[in-house]
Amino acid sequence: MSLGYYFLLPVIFSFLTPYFKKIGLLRASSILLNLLLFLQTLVYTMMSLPQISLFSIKPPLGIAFILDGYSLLFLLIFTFSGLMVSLYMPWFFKANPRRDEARFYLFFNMLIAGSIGMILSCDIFNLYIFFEITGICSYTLSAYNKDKLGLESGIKYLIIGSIASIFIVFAIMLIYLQIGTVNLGLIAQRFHQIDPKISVLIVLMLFIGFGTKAELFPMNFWAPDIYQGSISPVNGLFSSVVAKAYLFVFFHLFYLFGLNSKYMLFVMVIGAITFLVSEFTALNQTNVKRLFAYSTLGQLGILFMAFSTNSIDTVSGALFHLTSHSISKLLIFLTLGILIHKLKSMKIDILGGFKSTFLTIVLVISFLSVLGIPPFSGFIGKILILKGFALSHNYAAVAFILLVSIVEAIYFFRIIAMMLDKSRAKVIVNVGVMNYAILAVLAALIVLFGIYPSLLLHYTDLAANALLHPTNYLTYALGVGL
Amino acid sequence: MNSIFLLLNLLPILFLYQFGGALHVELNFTSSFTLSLIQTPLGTFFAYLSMISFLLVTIAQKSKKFSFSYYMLQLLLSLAMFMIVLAGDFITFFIGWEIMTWSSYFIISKSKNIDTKSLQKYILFSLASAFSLIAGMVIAYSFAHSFDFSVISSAFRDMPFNIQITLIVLFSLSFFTKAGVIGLHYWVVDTYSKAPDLFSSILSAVMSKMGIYGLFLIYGHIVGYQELKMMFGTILNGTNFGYTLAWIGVATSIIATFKAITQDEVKKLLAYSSIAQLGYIITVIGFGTAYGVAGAMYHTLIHTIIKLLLFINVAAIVAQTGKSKFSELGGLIYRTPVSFVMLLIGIIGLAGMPPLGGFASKFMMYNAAIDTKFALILIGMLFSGAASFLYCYKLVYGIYLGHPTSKNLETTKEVPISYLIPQIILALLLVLTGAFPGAFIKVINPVLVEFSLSTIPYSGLGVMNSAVGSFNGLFIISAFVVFFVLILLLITRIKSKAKNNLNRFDISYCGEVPAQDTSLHFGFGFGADLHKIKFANAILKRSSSSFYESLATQTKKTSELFSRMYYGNIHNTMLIILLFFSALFFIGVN
Amino acid sequence: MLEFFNDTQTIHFIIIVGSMSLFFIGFYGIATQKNLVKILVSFDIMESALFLFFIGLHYKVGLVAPILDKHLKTFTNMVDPVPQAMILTTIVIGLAVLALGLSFGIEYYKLTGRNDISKMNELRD
Repeated sequence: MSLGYYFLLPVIFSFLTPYFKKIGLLRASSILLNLLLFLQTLVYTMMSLPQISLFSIKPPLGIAFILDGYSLLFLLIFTFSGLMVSLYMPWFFKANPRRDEARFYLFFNMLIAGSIGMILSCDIFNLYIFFEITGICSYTLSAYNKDKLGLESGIKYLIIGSIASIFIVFAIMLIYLQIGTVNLGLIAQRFHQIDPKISVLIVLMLFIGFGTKAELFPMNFWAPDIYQGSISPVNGLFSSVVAKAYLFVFFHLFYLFGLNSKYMLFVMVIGAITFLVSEFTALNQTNVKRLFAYSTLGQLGILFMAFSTNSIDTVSGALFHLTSHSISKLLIFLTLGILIHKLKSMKIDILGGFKSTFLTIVLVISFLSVLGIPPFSGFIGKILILKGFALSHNYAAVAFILLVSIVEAIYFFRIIAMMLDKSRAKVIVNVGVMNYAILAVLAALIVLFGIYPSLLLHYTDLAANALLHPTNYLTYALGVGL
Repeated sequence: MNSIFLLLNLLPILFLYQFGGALHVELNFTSSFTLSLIQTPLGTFFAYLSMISFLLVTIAQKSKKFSFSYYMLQLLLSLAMFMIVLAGDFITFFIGWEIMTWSSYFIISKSKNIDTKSLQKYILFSLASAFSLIAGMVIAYSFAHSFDFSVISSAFRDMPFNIQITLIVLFSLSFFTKAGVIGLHYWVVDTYSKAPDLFSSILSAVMSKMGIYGLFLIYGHIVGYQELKMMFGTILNGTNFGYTLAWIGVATSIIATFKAITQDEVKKLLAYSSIAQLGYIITVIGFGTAYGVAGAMYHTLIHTIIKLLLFINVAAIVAQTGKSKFSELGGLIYRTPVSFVMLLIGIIGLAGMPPLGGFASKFMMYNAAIDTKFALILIGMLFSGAASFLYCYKLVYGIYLGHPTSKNLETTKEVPISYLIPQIILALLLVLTGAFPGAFIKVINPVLVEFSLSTIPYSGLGVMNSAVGSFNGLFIISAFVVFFVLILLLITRIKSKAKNNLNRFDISYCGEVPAQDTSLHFGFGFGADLHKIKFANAILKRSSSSFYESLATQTKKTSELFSRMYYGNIHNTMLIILLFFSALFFIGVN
Repeated sequence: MLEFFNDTQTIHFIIIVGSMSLFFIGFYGIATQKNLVKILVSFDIMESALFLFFIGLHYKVGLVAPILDKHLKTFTNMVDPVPQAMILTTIVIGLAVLALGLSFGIEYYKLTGRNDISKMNELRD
């Protein structure tokens, strides 16, 4: 077993995609592939960490994949989301028949592979390649509907992605010119040797590059457009996989390069502004996809605030919040896919226009979880984050998060009130057996992590430790003792 | 289904009874949080209070068909409250608090008259209350490194003074919102009046008491009355803190009383009266004397009984007639005599007249005010107590007396027996609390010990002792019953000669012929002239709604302002990213 | 006469000036042009500038290309091969993105007859 399979299997599968003559076989094998990846991740949870997989030469000269506690949590989220989406797709394509279904599977599996590659690779240039693979797949997926809106979102995403990649390439080149290596371990060791002015430039370029992709204010004006133009399962992937992968890289580099003391306040303020602006903007939306896109941006804002705090407890809480947010947003966007198909509209009214007790219950659970209301999983994350801020005597952040959360509650409860309003015209929505199962599993996870948080906290603590004290990671990245 | 849930509601009571005061459960929630349930005398009192209320309301619910989800949510709500009052740490408390918030939200949303705006008001105020609580608890955690009540309590006196103040303010704000202190009561009236009729009784009688429980918890247990005295110093015979709180309470009760008198909707009147009564409790809760705490607790008990009784009574009338306004009701005394008697007992208690329990609790509270020499507070309390007679009178006159205003009121039948059973039980309780006020001293003394205050001397079941004097409830009520029976006999002798089923048009109407839809009952206009009194008008025309509405408008405007940024085209977005980079670069390099 | 070009410093200076001016040409294009194709071309110019910059700064006078042939028998006296490998990869990626962008642009033009990116604003609330 090797970490390389995380990348190899999806890529080989993607290359074989055009040769599948029967569409049913393609769907089934895509599910199988994602199931395999998820099972492999489950196996890794039982093994000692970190794990390393070499490709011919050992680091720091060679290329390697390293799996530590931090990436394990993200790996679980990504493979799980991939599995859920691939289980959902057969229904989606039955409901919206397409001739170019294979194209979706090609880019979908590549997207998962690229995101996983980003979190596993231990040199910055490989990271950039996976960054671009993820980017190209997401441009194509967001333009999957080849209509005006889809293409517009694809073009916008591509332009923004090009800007981000220019910044990142520039930063990598400067790093290589200064230190003469692309290995993350060596860069981490030697980063402080760089001339301060150049180092500021490098940090800023990386910040702009990954911050743009991770949808930070003021570089996120494009994000809601992308969500609006693409299909719902892709929205789910963007929200729970792609954005989280960029966030992973952002903080991986942030802590590896030891930027936490100098730039902590800056990232925190940017995160806070993102949170504030997004939640206020979401209040004014009438398009469901845009609404939840803004909500995603807002949650990313909280995560950026909490991740930059440099304290294990807060970061562990933030990782918990991130996991529960990924599950909730996946649930919300998959449900939106069903509703948009049945009600043929993207207006917010569709959330008040359907009649299905099951969908109402799962949506309410996910909303309450995003808001951080017990006994759902969002609460644990939020209380840990707030506790962490309070412990570092950052009461302003506590007050800020709570005040803006009230704004967030306004629109979430407006939607809940719409769903409960019996005076609206309702269309009966049959969910379908498979979707029942998927949504029920997601909702059950939200409740499970809410009432039995130790299950997940074990992994978040592990991840927070690995992120803040990357000693083990560095030994492996430097190839010591291999 | 009703009987199943009746049994399920009985379970927590049996559970509590079986443990007999020694319940102590701990559960490792995460590595850093422990959930714990600990039975304290205060918590036990509130637990029995809320559980029995739920039981009584469930009995009344037999008369109407409620869905399974309604019962489930109500059960969840009762368990959440159970969790709140027995919580031994803030995490348990908060989880209970939030489950209470959303389960009650979903029950309220099942009402027929509810609209989105009222729902939003309810949930946003509830969440604001919860968030202020969570802010308080994490700040406390940052000093005590534990969410446990006892640990925080012992760490409290070592905290810096500004943190102590912040904590007290945050917790108080949270619980004030739940109890509906004036200014924070914006949600109360709409919610109480638009919730399902029987559920309003839970909201008013039980849920608002959770706010009171929270205040007791903070002032008595976590901060401690002795500590409050040391922190803020004393004035007269009480503390500065108690004096400030008393003014908040008095203002609440006076303003709410005046607002109550002018209401046309029955449930709105009851909602304002609920705010006013909780105002009394808040007035005395901060005194920091044994009698203050005793008065607050006694009034909590009495108010729960009365509001359950009144709301169930009104719910029955609304269910029976389909009318919910004073202007549409009237003259029901002959059609629903038992309900009338129950309401009469209820308002006697509400007005605080002897011989019922309402008098005992008011006696206790007034005496507490005299004891601390807060004369102005006492005057305020007496004033609003006197003014509350007016809305009590309006309640009985508007519904049961006078002329029926519409035709179908003449054919109304007595309300179903399932509505009457809880009312009769509650009325009996009201009589018992009036007759044996001394029994309550036995309940209250352990709480006083818990708060390390002096205990109240006990001298017999019927005797209520206080700092200033005592009275014998048993004697009063016996005397009252004797006179009452005599007068009743006298009246029945006279009344038997009168016709009791008059046509509603059997009146002199100054030569005009009233049409079918003419309102013949003027009880609803009662209180309209209050505006002519300058002082009352000044109170009535002010409202907190303008503040909250402008807040909502501001939020909306901010939202529009921000969303304008997101309509920029992609070209501008690119430029913004580049400019942002250059700006950061220049800042960073220099 | 061209002797002074044999100096590493001079060559680096020329490369920096050249690539930076190329970079700012691209930058100017992004900032002022609104035609999608021109924007994509500007991106490519910027990327090329970066490649030039990176490769150029790793060249020192007297070193040869890292290709084993008659000039290079042992691994000495050659320029660092890593930047060249990196740039080759980046060029491929850049090409892929450019092709994808152009294909999007063509499809979009077929549908709407527009290629002005500042007028692409149908995605709104």
